[in-house]
Amino acid sequence: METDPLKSSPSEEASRSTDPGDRVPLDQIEMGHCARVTEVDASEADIEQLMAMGVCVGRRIMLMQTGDPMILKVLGTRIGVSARLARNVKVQPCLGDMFGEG
Amino acid sequence: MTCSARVDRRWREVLLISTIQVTLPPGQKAPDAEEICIALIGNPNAGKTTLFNALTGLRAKTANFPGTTIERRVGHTRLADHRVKLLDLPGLYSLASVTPEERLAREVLLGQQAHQPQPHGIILLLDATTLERNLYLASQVLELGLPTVVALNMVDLAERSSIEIDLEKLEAELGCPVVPVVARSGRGIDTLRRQLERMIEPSGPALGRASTEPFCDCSGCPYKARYDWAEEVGARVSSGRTTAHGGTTDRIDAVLTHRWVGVAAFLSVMFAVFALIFWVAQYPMDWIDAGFAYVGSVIGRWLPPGDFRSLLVDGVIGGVGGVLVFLPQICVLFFFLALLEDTGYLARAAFVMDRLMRRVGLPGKAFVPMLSAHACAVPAIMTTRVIEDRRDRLVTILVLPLFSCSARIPVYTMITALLFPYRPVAAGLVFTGAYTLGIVAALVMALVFKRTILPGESRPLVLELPSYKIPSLRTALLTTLDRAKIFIRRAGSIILGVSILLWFLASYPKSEPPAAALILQADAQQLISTGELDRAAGLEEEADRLTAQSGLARSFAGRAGRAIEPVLRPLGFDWQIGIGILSSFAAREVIVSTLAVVYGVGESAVDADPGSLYDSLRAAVRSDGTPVYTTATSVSLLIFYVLAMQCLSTQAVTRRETNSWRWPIFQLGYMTVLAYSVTFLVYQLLRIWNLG
Repeated sequence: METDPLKSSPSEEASRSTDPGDRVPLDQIEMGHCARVTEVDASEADIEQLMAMGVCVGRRIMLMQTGDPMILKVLGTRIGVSARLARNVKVQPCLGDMFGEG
Repeated sequence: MTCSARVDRRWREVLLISTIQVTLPPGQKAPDAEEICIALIGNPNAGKTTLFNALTGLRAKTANFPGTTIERRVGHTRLADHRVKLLDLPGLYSLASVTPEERLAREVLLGQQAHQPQPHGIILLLDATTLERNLYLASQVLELGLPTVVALNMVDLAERSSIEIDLEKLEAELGCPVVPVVARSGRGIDTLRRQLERMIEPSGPALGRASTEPFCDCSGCPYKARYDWAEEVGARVSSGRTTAHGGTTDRIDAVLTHRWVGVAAFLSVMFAVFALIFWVAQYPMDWIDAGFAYVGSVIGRWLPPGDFRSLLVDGVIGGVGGVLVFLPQICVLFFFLALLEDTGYLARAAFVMDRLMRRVGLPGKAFVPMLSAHACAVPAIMTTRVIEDRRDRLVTILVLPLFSCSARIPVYTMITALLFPYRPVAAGLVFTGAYTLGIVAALVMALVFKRTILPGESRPLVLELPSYKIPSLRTALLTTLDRAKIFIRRAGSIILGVSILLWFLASYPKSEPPAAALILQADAQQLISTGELDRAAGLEEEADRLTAQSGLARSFAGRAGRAIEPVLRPLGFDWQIGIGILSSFAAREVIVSTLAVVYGVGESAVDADPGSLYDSLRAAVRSDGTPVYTTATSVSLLIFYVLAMQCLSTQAVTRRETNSWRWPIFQLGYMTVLAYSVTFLVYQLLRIWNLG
């Protein structure tokens, strides 16, 4: 890891766990609701791209449009993403809106 | 144009200042080792192309990074008394070496790319309206320790969304100068230049982020650590909100990304674009056509008749003109696609089409190239660069030439006139059928390729839907110019070479004019002596026509046509059609003029009255006296031209975009086999039904 700090460590990411009780896959939250990412299954090949765009542990996400593909909002940007990929992201519903105003 | 005029003036100022102390005369290239190189890096949709254009103007060159199909844009600019090379890196969200683009950008910045010395400094472009997301890439770029200047773009939009960024705090956080700019309008570019001048001064202050906390604390994912940092910095440097609310974009998206309304909206937008392409482009196409015809006739008058004149007029001007005539369509298409892309709409188009395209195993991003291919496969193949996955992109490139492009329209018109003269409804059905066949064939072949030679599920969609913006005309025009230059370079090299080769094959070996032509010429001489010039001219034209017909029949092309006749006979084609197919190898619409010569109509007669070609085609008979153009032969000729490759420009661009000869050769091979087998089946079936 010292040689290349930019590389991610998928195994560590997958093994992280916080309060498993409330966790739901991203594709199951309701439209317009806000949630915080608690876990990303990094074994999925194409998930790195989604994580690089901000869908990673700790970020707040809002579901703008359901369906497949769906639209997420994270850090003020909209991302269209396949439901297949979104299933690998576990979230915990959170209070307040995502613009730092709640 | 006021915008570019302003830029030009600024350019002149920069050049004037710099000529005072230059060591090299302007325009002369400094040796590569001494040339200062600055790399431009930023998120996709952050306005990188616009900033690049604002800094370099019209001087940018587009090519590929060696050994890749990743676009490498290089421009030059003058900073202080240095000629500085500006290298545009691909738009990235991360430098983590996951995608080929990320790996390449990382290697370039670390100086690990062959033939690409390490840049002296970096312009890091950040979008002020999505600062936190942009700071993620910033954290990785700043870690590299290269001198860096941050250009904070779209500060005008940020102000409008009441995002207030404290520049001094941001500079302190990042440890490098931050220049607010609006790349679109040119605001802040001069200040950015001054900062860049300071950056490249050898004695200047060391820039770049000196103290970087290690992000991989090994207790969690590096994404989290970096994004935590990005959110903290975002919160510290902005007093109000940190991201745009984007209410307007959300309201527009409610319609344009709707499951069904979105698809309907997309089809309407694309229909409007295509109507515009065919409507706007027809005028310059006519001018180009007329221009080449005029140049041809001028040369025809200046040069004595002979091989050299024929080479110039028929080979060079005819061949290159026949390809360049599609330049307006290519330009108009690229211009509108660039505008749509700049507004942010194309991302929505890919989003709504994704669900439908998955059924043939391709991503939604493949749809715009597929629509573009109905105008011309060349720009369509160039636009496949938006498809990230290599296999998805290859499959799309392979099937794009099956869609009916505008070069097929003259061929379809000719065959429709043969099949259904004076019956517009039936003719309309033939056209519709030809287009449908192209679409079905392309989708089926895409499925086949995804299941066989390029297997694998298509990549799941991950696509940023940027906020809607007013597009920049200047960026769209520069993109169009860039693509047009690539196309013209092709027309000037490979296509010119093949045109000359085809001309040679159709002109040599020379043969004596046939006896009938000699008699007509003798008659014409007599008429001239009696003063009946009009009749003499008519006879001479007739003699020329007969000479051209017999010359082509005895040429290499004619012999080749006869040689391949046994192969073509099961398709219902005779040796004349064989010549047509061979001569239209480089550009399919050439078959119309070739058939005019083969059947002895004369090209000029066809231009004046297309009916004369159709009449003589209908009158053409085989050696046994039966007509050549039966329903079965006409239908099989139509199907052959829907499915066969027959386009050198497409082959050349496939070679360029796949960076190998393997794929254009495979494309030619599979399309020829497909065209031959389907045509064979249809012709034999029609013969069984007594239509032969």
